Amino acid sequence: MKHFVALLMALMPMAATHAASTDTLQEGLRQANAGQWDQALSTLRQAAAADRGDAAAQTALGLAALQRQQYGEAQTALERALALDPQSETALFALGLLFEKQRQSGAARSAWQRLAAITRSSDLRDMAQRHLDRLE
Amino acid sequence: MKSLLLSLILAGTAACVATTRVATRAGTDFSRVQTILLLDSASASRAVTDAFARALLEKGYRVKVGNPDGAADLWMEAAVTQFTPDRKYLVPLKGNGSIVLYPAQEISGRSLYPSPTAASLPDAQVVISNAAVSLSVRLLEPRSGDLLWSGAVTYEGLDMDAAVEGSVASLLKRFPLKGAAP
Repeated sequence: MKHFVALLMALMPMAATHAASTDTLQEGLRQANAGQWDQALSTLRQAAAADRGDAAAQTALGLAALQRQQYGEAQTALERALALDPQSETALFALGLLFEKQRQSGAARSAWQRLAAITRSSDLRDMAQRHLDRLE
Repeated sequence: MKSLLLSLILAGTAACVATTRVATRAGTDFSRVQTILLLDSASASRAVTDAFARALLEKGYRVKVGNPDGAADLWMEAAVTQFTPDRKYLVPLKGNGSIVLYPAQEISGRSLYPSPTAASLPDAQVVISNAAVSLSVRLLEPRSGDLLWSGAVTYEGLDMDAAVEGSVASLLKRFPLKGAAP
């Protein structure tokens, strides 16, 4: 029992941190959805830093950074999101567009190939194939 | 002209709207083409015309831009059939807190405030945007005006520059000219 209480005490700050980062993420998403991209980027940086293991926070930061043309930050966040959630179609879609913009054809092909392989959406699969046709 | 149109051979995957669609008049010899005139067109933006000009110059062609005249081996006419500078997708949160693109909902117009009820989506969403361009291009024989080749494509990019560049590059890959895939 003593050990259980000690464990619980140890976990409580982590749970509080997770709840706080979730609130921050929700606020950042609200700002992004309202088109307040500068505020959203700042808020989502906090959310992503507070919980680096949260794929949603990393993805949201990546999309906000893309919107503000902070391409280096966007790539880092989206690749981290993909590492946390290898099935993230959002991250693959955004990375495909980003790598093409940066003329990184090999990396773009890889992103589109992965998206085409995992998506259940025929529209997304067609889109990915269209980009692969151009890049091959 | 009608018979020529009917004689066009579908050379692409025309049944699939996802890929570049092209058609070439049977028996046309493009190997001697050296000079291409890009026709000024109200239905093609300057950015598109310039992108084609750059790409053709890189392939070694002599390129002119302007109104029809006889001093070119081919006329090229481009048209922007759809121009979406800021296509937006709402990316909903799944129940477990992760974000997915599918099933994302494409929204149109300038508003970023669709009704959550109407959209049947939770109120915590993020918007991802990209640009899209649909192009249609024709190659014409200068003396007769015969249609020799036609192509169309839709392409997405992170922004309008990337979408234009991608759509032009997609079409050029299918050109029956220098450096094109057979």
